[in-house]
Amino acid sequence: MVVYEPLPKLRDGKPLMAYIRQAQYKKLDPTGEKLKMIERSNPERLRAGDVVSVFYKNQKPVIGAILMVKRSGVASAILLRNKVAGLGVEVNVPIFNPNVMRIDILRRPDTYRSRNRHYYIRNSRLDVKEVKL
Amino acid sequence: MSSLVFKRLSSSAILTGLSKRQLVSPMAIPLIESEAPLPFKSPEARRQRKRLLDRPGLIGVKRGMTQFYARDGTRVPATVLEIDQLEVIYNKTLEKEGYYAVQLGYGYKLKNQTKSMLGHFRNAKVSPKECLYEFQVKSEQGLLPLGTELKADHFKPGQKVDIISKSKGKGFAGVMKRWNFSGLPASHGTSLAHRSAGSTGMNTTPARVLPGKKMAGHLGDELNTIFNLEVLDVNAEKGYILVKGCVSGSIGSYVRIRDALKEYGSHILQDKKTGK
Repeated sequence: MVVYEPLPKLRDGKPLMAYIRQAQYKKLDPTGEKLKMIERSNPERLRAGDVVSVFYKNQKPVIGAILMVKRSGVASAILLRNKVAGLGVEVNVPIFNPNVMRIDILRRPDTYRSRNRHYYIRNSRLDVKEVKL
Repeated sequence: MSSLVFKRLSSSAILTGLSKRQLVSPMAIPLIESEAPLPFKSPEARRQRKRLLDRPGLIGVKRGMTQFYARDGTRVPATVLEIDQLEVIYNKTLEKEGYYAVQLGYGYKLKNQTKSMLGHFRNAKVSPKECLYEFQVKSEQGLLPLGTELKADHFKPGQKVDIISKSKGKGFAGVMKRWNFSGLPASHGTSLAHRSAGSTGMNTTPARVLPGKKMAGHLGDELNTIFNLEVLDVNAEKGYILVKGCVSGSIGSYVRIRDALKEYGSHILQDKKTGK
């Protein structure tokens, strides 16, 4: 019985999801700065408690204290909290979004709180103070 | 009007079996030749009533989900479908099988192939495949030459597709999971029946459970079609399609991708009427 050979392998046999992950980082983060910003091995990484300002391509910058850092590939995001006229305001910033140009750290706390996600400080005496540029 | 009457009179004169002396009404229509209508339940009549596409779709494998940034920066969830080793194996025709369809094969698998299947693959000059599916097309123009390789650029970004796949099996499920029933109260005397269905019908009349009553039973593991999903990205060289939203089934399951039937499909009868 004649059996024909299969077609040549795509991507040199590399698994598709691994390829897509790499291609997305290459497209959304060519310099690797954004990925480095949330890597756990980096001592200068973004952490809950830091006060940062996020600069956008098409809108005004956003300032706030980081409540949590969500690490999930190109869907990674930081949650910022600030007070506007005494009212708590939260903004979710997907850091690999092409509209996010850069993220500057304004100041870091002397000692970091325990826990990686500071949801418990909302509306308590530990809550963030109003931050302005 | 007079010419019409004259025609009818002359046409009646050449009718066989009628003597020339016999009187025929001038308005009588002697003979109309028409096609015998197809029986409503015949396969051909069914095919003509069915909404069909002009070209076949593709077979893919669900590889997982990711996110996709559109040009304006909006983030959308996307499913990754792999298209690899996809070739045409057989064409079904109206003369032989009663309908037009393209049979496609996905992947490469040599183990446990029967001799008859190996012969089937050899006839198309393709390698033995893991998975075969056929796509019905409207006419002969939709058929493809045997051995044609289909790639992901069959579809274009921005168009709509339907995705047919088998949902995840949930086993024997109760009514609360299967039909979203509320169950019975948590207290007030309920005993060992908190997730029960309650009553299944009336008493002496009709003295039976009516057909179609929602009850516990097997959930999932059945074909499910998701209509009108948008194609976000296509890469023929690397062999993948990104589709907006989610697709039924577990990772690694085979899916059928076709042009959106509700947008691009039409009936053969409908085409005849509109004169396409």
